[in-house]
Amino acid sequence: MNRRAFLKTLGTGAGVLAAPTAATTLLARDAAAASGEQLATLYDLSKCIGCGACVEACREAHASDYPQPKKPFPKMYPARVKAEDFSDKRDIDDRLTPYNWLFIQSATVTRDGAPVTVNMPRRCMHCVHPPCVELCPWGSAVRYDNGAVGIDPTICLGGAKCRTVCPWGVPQRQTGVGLYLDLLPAFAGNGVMYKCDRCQTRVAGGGKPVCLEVCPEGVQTIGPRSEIIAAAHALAKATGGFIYGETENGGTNTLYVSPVPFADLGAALQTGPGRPGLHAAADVMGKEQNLATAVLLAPLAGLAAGLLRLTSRVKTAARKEDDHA
Amino acid sequence: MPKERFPRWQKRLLLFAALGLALTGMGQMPIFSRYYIADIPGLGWLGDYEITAALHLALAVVLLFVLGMFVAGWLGKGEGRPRLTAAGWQRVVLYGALAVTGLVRVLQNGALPLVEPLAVRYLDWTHLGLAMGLLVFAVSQGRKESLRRSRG
Ligand code: SF4
Ligand code: SF4
Ligand code: SF4
Repeated sequence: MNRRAFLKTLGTGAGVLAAPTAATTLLARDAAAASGEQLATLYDLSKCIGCGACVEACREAHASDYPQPKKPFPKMYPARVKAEDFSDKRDIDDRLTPYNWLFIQSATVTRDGAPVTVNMPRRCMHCVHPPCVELCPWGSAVRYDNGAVGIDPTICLGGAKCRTVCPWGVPQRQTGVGLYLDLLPAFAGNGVMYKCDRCQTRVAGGGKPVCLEVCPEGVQTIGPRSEIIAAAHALAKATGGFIYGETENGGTNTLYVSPVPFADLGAALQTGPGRPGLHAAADVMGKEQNLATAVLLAPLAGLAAGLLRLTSRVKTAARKEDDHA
Repeated sequence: MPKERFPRWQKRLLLFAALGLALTGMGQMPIFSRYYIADIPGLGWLGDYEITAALHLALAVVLLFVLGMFVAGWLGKGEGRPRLTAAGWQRVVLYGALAVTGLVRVLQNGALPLVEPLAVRYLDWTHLGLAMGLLVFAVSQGRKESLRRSRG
């Protein structure tokens, strides 16, 4: 096979792969989410009074999971690498920090001429296709079969890639803890990333998230993803409400239903580090889906091309023999 | 019958893909931004995870395609194929294991997670270790032939 024939084979292969498989693999990659194994939560924001009981309960329940950094921190090189230290600011509860995995975000918007205040408990969305997990080069961010996403503090190196690729910048870094201290603390790593793990230990044991249990208003419910989606739609329909989290970033396991449009809420929000917005987050991992499919088919395409090459050689040889006859 | 069992341009393509994969693979770790590499004009993309991840996949398509062709060519030779040298075997094992661990990782992110969530780390570490092994191999043994000269 010459170069032109090779490029042709590759081109045909790519063309054949791209169109129909785009749809089928997108369906396939949602198979896990549709299997009924994944749990999702629903927040009925019309009920939340912003009392903060959930925030307090989360902090209490996870106090033993919080970082206990040693100081002074090992010096890091080059100088541009900055420590991120919340260990003296553990009381902060109005944003996400390594010591605060849930906070109440409030926004007041005008609806039919009257001001409406909406309180939103914010934490990790537990995405169905979490870029924090799928792009973690170290395997520390994991998605459990029940749809929760966690970061293992025993091996996380604190490179913060998860925060960079998360559409909401959720994971928060604490310097001076974790495995990087035992490797090359001056030159690689910078601590451990922390975020809500949806109370994985409790939920895996049949329990419910702490924040859900303590809420006096019954704002949050948990259940199989398909049921939660149906419940969110029913609620939105009955109340004329709006849904966030069902399709954002290709789908998450956290659905909010609000009495006012999320675009309005988002515009009225104070966002910044540790304070996620309410934008229409594009599907980060979905963008790579066609390439991922091509990767899976490439070895087969290569084998096929190699076999073609062999058979054409055999044919040429046979023709030569004919010529000689 | 061509003199070269594997045409030179295919080997060049493999080398190009392998080097690109090494670079974009390193780009999956937060080092290019930390060490000012992504500050070099024209290399900013090395600090963009979405770009390096997409390129890593695109280059993997090229590498896996060429590897597939090599395998077909090799098997197709049947009894008449020349034997592998020690360096040849090492190449086969390193490339093969890198390809397999990479493919399993792609499946893990997609439709067919084969590895338990808490074991994905071993998959990632193996892939990384193999890449470093291949780098060491390329530097120390890279010029050695894969195929025995001839069986006479
Ligand atoms: S919200 Fe961010 S941190 Fe949470 S699962 Fe999604 S990508 Fe990961
Ligand atoms: S699910 Fe658990 S970890 Fe997450 S915010 Fe609620 S209490 Fe905190
Ligand atoms: S979710 Fe419940 S506990 Fe949390 S602030 Fe709202 S009403 Fe209070």
